[in-house]
Parts: sequence; C-alpha cells; structure tokens
Amino acid sequence: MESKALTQVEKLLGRELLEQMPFNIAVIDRDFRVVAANKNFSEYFGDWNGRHCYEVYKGLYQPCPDCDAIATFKDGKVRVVDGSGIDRHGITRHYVAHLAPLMDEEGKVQYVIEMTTDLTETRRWQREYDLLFERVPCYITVIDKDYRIIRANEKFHHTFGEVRGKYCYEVYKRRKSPCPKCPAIETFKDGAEHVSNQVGIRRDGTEAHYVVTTSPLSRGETGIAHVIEIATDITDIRKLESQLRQAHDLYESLISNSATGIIAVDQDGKSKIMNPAARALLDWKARRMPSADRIEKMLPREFFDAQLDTDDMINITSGSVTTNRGEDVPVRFRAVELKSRGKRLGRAAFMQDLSELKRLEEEKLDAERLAAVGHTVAGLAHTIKNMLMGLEGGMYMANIGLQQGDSELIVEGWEILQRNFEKTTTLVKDFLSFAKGRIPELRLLDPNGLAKDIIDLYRDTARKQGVELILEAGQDVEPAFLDPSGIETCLTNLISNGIDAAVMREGAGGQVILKTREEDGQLIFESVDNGCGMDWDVKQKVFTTFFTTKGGKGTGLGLLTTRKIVQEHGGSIEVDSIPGEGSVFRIRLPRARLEALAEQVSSNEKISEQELQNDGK
Amino acid sequence: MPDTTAKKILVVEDEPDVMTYLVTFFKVNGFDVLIATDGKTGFEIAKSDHPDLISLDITMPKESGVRMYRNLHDEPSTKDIPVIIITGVSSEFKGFIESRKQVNPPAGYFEKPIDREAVLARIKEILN
Repeated sequence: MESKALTQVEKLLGRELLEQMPFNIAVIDRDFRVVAANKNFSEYFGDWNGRHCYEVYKGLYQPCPDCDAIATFKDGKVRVVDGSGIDRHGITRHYVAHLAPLMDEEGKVQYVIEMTTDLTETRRWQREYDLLFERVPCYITVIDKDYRIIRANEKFHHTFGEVRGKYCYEVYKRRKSPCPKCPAIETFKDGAEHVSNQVGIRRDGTEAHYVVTTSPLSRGETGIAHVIEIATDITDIRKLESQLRQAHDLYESLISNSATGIIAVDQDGKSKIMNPAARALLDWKARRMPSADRIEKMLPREFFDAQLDTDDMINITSGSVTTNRGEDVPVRFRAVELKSRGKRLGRAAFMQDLSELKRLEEEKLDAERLAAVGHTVAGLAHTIKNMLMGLEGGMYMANIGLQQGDSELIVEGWEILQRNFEKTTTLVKDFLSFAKGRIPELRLLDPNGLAKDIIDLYRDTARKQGVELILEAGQDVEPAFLDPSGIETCLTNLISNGIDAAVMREGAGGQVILKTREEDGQLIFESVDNGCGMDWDVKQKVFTTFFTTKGGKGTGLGLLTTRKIVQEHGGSIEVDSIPGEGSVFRIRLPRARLEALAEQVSSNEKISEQELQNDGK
Repeated sequence: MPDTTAKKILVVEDEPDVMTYLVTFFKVNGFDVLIATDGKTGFEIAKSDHPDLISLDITMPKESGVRMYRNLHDEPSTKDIPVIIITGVSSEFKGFIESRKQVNPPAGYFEKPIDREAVLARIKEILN
C-alpha cells in the first residue's frame, strides 16, 4: 500500500514536474520518435505526436548529421548543446538543449530526455550588445586586475592598434607602467565609477584627447575582477577649443596693444572691453570696468543716442571725451554697432588721442614765429651797423671840420648825425611794435569790413599822390578770427608800399587794388598795384632783411613786420612782380589754423584766469 | 702832404650818409674819389675810369655788390683792380666770398662800422 501510494505520488509528481518545468521537454526513443512532451514543448514546436524529433525540431526527413542524442543513447552521458530549429510558426529559433538518458533496469538507455531553453532573445541581446560594443563612437576596453586588455572594441583597435595580451597603458599611451591618476586603479579599489581626462598616442603617432569613464564589470573572489573603460575622444573639441583660444588671444592682443582707445559695451550699456589705451586716455586706473553711468559721462552723447544700422558708423573727426577726473581730451571718435548673425551685442567706441597732434600743431606755429624772429634779428643787426656807420661818419666829419676849421664839414657831419639819430629812434619804435605781442589777440571779425576801413583811411592820401585805391571784396568771405590791429598794420603796409610803387610808375593812372577772397580753406588778402614792379634781386630780399629801396625814408621793417604778423596768424605771404608792370602781395591765412589758434588763445586765457584766481587766494 | 700822383678810389655805396663819410675820409687822407650808388654804375665807372682801388658795399638795391664783384673779375680791363669790401653783412659772408672758386678773394674785408686806421693801413699796403 505504502509503495503503491508512493508510486501514485511519483507518477503524479513526474507528470506535474514535466508540465511545470520552464523548459520545452520531450522524450525520444531509440528511433528518434517523440514519445512524450510537455505543454511548453507543444506550444513551442507544435504537434509532435508520432513524429520524429528531427521532423519536429528542424523539419527534416532524416536524423541530423551531428545528432547529439545518438551519442547519449550510446554512452548514457548528459550533454548540453547549442542548437537551432524551427518553431511551429516556421521561425528559426536558437536554444540550449540539455540531453539526459533514461535507462532501464539493465542500465541500457531506452529514451533520451531533451530539455530545450529558448535563447533567441538572449542571442538578440547579445548581438545588440556586440553591435553597441563595437560600433559605439567611443573607445571601449575591458581590463583585468593586471590592467591587461582582455577585450577592446573596433574603434579602439582602429585607433590604437593591436591589443592582444597588452597592458592598457601600453596601448593607450605607449607607457611601460600604469599611468599616474589612473581611474581604473580607483575603480578596482573602491568599485565605484571614475572619470578623468587623458591624452593618449594613436597608432599614427598623433595625440588623442579623451575623457575616460571606468566602471566595475564583474566581481571575483577578491573583489572587482574586470573594469570596463569607456573613453570619448574629445581631440576635435580640444582642437576647436585651441583654435578658439588662439583667435581670442589674437584679438585680445590686437585690442590690448592698439594705440587707439577701444571700449565695448553690451546692450545694457555695461562695459565689456576697455583696452589699456582707453584706460590711459580716460585716466581709468581701477581694475574693474566703469559702470554704465560712468561710461555715459565719459563718451560723447552720440555714442548712446545715435541710431545705428548695419555698416553705419559714428565718425566725429574733432570730438572730445571726458576723463575720470573730468578733463576734456580732444579725440577723433568712431563707433559701430556690434552684431553677430544679425543679433545686436552692443557698441564699440574707438578713440584716437589728438592732444599730441594739437600740441605739435602749436609747436609748429611757435617754431614759425621763432624763425620769423630769427630772420628779424639778423636783419636788425645789418640795419644797426649801417646806422652806427652813419653816426660814426657824422662824428668823424664834425671832428675833421673842427680840426680844419671847415664849418661846411661841421654842418654836414652834424646833419648826418641828426639824420641817423632820427633813424635810430624810428627803428627802435618800429622794432618795439614789431617785437611786441607774440600771440595775436584774435577776435571774430569781418575781413571785408577791415579792408574797407583801411581803404577809406588812405583814399585821400593816395589821391593826392595821383593814385586810386580800389576795394574788391569777395562776396563769399566769412568772418574769421583775426588780430584787428595786426591785420590793419599788414594791410596798411601793403597799401602804402603799393602807393609808393604806383607813384614811381612812368605816367599817370597809378592804382592799388585791395582784394579779399576765399580759396581752398584759406582767407586771402591781396594788394595789386600797377607800379614800378621789382626785379628778381629785390623780390628775394623784400621779406628777408631790413631791406629798403626808399633811401633814408624807410627802415625796411614794413614788410618784415607784415610777414611776422601773418606768420603769427599761422599764414604766409608771397609776392609776384614784373618790373615795370606792378606787384601783387598775397596774404594767405588757412582757416583751420586760425581756429586752432583761437582755441589755443582762449585756453591760454582760461589758464591765466585760473592763475589769477589762484593768486587771489 | 698831397701826393703828386694821387691814387683814385671808387666808392660804391647806396647809403648816402655812409657815402659822404667814406668820401670825406678818403679825401682827407689824400685820395681822389669817384662815386657810384649802385653796382651797375660802379662797374661802368670802373671800366671807363680805371680807379686804383674800389671800395664796395655788398647789399645794395639795383645790383648787388656780389654781382659787381663778379663782373669786375670777368672783365679783363678791371680784373686787376684791387677791391676792398666794406659792408654791414656779417663776417660769415667774408668766409663765403673768400672761398668762391670763380673769383679771387677780395683785397680787404671790413665790417661796418669801420676801424678807420685799419682800413687806411690796408689801402696803403695794397697801393704801394
């Protein structure tokens, strides 16, 4: 009973086991006929009843050439084999087959149990994994505890070459020992993931920059057995970075070393760039950038107000900026809108310091004035020598007259003394007027009005000598900064010279025309006479020495004084003359210089006012 | 004191007072004097009257003393007449005219106002 019950349990258990096992189970006899199978098997391979195993598994009509069941029938050993067949839907399936013998009491194998487990999904994963492993755009290596590479992907092979049996540091970096700061060592130590930047050497010898992540892959008895290294190549990014840095350094260097002051502000008016030249120009010593408010006080209004379209530029040739200390500095100012792909980024200002240029301009004017004085002094010495000679001669003759009792000689000598004494007096007076007032007192005047006054003043005097004075005033002549008494002296000198020349002409009809006009940014005064004219010799000398053709009448200072005044105005004087036909004296006054002088004079006045105030304290 | 064969000096000078002075000075010292107020006239008189010596100013209107000096040198009939220059032009000019290759250096060079004794001594030296 007991054994019968046991047999009942065994039977039931066997049936249940067969059905419950998560495998496809079939039992075949020595003719390869399927004699039993569980439900899983039927669902997987379909109908089996009375069919051969090779029919059911693979749709064949005779046993498979490499049948493992045959071997198990022969030797009674358990086998595990990989296999593939066709399921009931005709789809190829991969599986692992576990072959076990079923023996009778005599130990003869009567049946073989085939337990198959489907591997199709696993295989697919495996393939996907392999694909991922090989094709992912990273270098992947699996290393063991000795840092020996046991697996590497295609990209790694392709880049770093053969790896079989080599150490990872050998292949990655051509080193003989593990790298310092190796993340794999860390991972082996603590089982955690580590990331680091590394530089390796490719098989072609070039550098490869990569970021490597090391993760534990499997555990052994003594901790982590394998580590997987996944490295992303960032060489191209590095290259771009370095190019970007180079470009940045280049522009940085250009901006820093530019003699032009450069300031860039963003859309909110915050300063982003301020180069050393701009710092020097604006006297900004702090390390931080000036605030938006500060910048507004320093740069011209136009920089903030003007609407700028593409390619527009603010261009102020003669502007000024205000330094941190509130001083105005003359600059040439330019500004542009900064854009990147149509997006407004802010504005940039370019400032060229003009104070040095202005100073040079002033120095040039000074130098010209000094040269005028130099010529004058040289000429003066000559004149004085002649007068000394006259005085000496007078004394000599008076003395001889006295010695010889010759009253005529005494009178003659005395007359010479008197004349030369008078000449000396006149010269000293002229010279004082010549030497005074180095900087002209400039007022904004109408040049035509000035010319008319002079003509009116001398018209009668000229007429008495038979000479007509005519004014030809240019209609386009604008007011200019002139020293009224200086220009009056010049015009008087030119006109009186003209009258003298016209008087000396052969025949009546003498005339002097005073003309004014504008020409190439210059104000021009011209005295045209139809008098005796001058030959080359005389023309050479009229401005250079105390030269006179008027015998005892002139001191030779008239034209010199004229030239000096004209030069003090930053202008020049020239003469055209044809003997017997007349002369033209032309005064040219460049307007830009007149304005520069006016500024200089007014700033000098400001300074002296300040000095006065300071003295008063 | 008057020499039986008084030497003739041509004074070329544009400044009337200086002219009077020089003429008086030379006459007082026993010379005959010819005058010219510019270089052009001076050269004509030199050719026609053959003075024994010429006193020449440099800076004059019409024609400068330098031009006359050159003309005298180029003209065979006048090139041996000694010339002394009496001028207000500074001593730099002395170096200039003495270094010209085209002309001989002047026999004497005096700056205004003149040292009368020195002028007289030099003239006597030249003429004797």
